[in-house]
Amino acid sequence: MSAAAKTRPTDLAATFEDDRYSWTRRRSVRRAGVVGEAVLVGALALAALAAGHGLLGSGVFAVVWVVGLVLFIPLHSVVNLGVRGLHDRRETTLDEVQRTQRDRSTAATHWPRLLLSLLAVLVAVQTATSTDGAGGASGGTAAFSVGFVLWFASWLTSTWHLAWTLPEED
Amino acid sequence: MPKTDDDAVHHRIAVLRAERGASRRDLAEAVGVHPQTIGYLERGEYSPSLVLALKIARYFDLPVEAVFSLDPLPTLSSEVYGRTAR
Repeated sequence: MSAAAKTRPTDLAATFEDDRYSWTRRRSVRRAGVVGEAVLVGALALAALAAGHGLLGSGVFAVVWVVGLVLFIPLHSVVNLGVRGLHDRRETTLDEVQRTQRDRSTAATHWPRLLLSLLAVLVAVQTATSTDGAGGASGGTAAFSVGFVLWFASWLTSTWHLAWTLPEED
Repeated sequence: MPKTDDDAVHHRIAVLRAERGASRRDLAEAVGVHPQTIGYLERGEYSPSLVLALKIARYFDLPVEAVFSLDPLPTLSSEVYGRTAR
């Protein structure tokens, strides 16, 4: 592979570097995005718990989840653009500072990610082995949803850390 | 980011860039990093790798010790006129 081909940015990297999205890289926008995602993920978990305890009908629960997951797409796009997609881009499109920033966030969130993943596995095991969960089938769906949210949050933590801690650009 | 003041690498990147009329983007493209990385270096928020320091020194056609130092570098006025900042 030639040097030029090796360093040519991918379409994904070019999107993350596009100046049209420079507003997403302001620290205030990044942090607002992280808070928004955390609230959204928390709301999904609460909805699942409420459904598991029979406080939320299955129809309402389904609507809340579909709306929440659809809302997550633009919200996460903003957060990911704000951190220039450091977790998603090909290694060769990152320079040494960007790699350091990405690796620092991955290392800083190691234990929270492990804890959330472990909780997700525990919920999954509990769901799989439970024969009479609260609310029967809907209780199983709710437990599965809580497990999914925990796993989802574990996947997001390093991006949240990155978005929260990256210095202001100039 | 340097862990302590002892880890800080002092440099003349901004002065040399101004002297040569080079933008951050010019320097970044020449040494193969993101323009924001030059900003992080200039603000002392990141200490460069040896490879990057050598590339930057080569861009300015200077020995690496003329651009980077573990000790604070003398100011231009003290170097040229022997005056120190008040």
